[in-house]
Amino acid sequence: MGEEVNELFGIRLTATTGPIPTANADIQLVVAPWKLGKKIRLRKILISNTVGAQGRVVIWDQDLGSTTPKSYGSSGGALLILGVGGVATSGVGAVTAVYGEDTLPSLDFEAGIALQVSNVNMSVAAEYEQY
Amino acid sequence: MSSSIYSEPFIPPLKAGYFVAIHPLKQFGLYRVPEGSVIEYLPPKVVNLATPWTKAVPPASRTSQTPLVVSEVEDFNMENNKLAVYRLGVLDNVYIKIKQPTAVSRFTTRGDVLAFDKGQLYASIRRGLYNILPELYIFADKTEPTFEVYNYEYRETYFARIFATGYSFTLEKVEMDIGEIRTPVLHLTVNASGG
Repeated sequence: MGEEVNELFGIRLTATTGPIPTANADIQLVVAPWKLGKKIRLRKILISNTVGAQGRVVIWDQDLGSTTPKSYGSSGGALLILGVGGVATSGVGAVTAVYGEDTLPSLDFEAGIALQVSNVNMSVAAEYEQY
Repeated sequence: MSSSIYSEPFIPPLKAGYFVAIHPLKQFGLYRVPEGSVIEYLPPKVVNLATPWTKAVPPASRTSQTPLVVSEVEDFNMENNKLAVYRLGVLDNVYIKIKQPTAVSRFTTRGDVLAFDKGQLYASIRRGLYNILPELYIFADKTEPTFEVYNYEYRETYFARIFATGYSFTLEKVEMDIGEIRTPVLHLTVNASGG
């Protein structure tokens, strides 16, 4: 039957940033379809780091392209901070942290998933539910 | 309460030939579901009782709770002479009371008005017990419900969505004395100001 009522009406989608060229800059991973009356719930997230320094992703609820939806949190006051280890030899290989359905609290985002990463060339991929 | 082979389907309350009395009788009267008419299933419709980003459900409080009152919701209205019966579910973390018409609470017990929320209803849906979900009758555009939406969270929200699914019946007016009818009659009371 599904784990939750929203599974009756939700669909699973994915979003990815690719290698992020600028550290500590606002990135929009995905915008919630708030105009169409839906919000999104984060289910899984994967972070990759390609440099020696440990990496950090800060996440909050904002549509960077519109001031209409209310934002919750900010880069300085994130809703969620996730970490990933550093690579043994910088620029060679990658270290990936995966936070899956049974390890990640499934947060709701009403405006969208906005994030900043701490290192250049980190990448983030997420699976989320639109409902 | 249930097993994997037992479920409670949502059975339409009316069949062809059944009677419906819509009060006040002098204004509306007696109707019947025509013989041979087809009962139409209404797929789920989601309605957000709040309005992003202008009308929020106020946050929960440690003292008294302030609802978002949404009066005379038109989203469930039917065409003339059609009756719909919906079963309701809740998608967001709010609890809801219904008034129909605006001054009359639904689901009353002595001294209390029953509310419903996502968690309670999910317990029914999860077990396939659809027939015990809250019911809402809508006759044409004459019975618009008013919803009082209360927040469980200490942060305002612009999402207070309910979904409704059910059946619609086309009714035909009949000129009969209600006393002549020997089968059960569904009685509905209308708020005349809705029209």
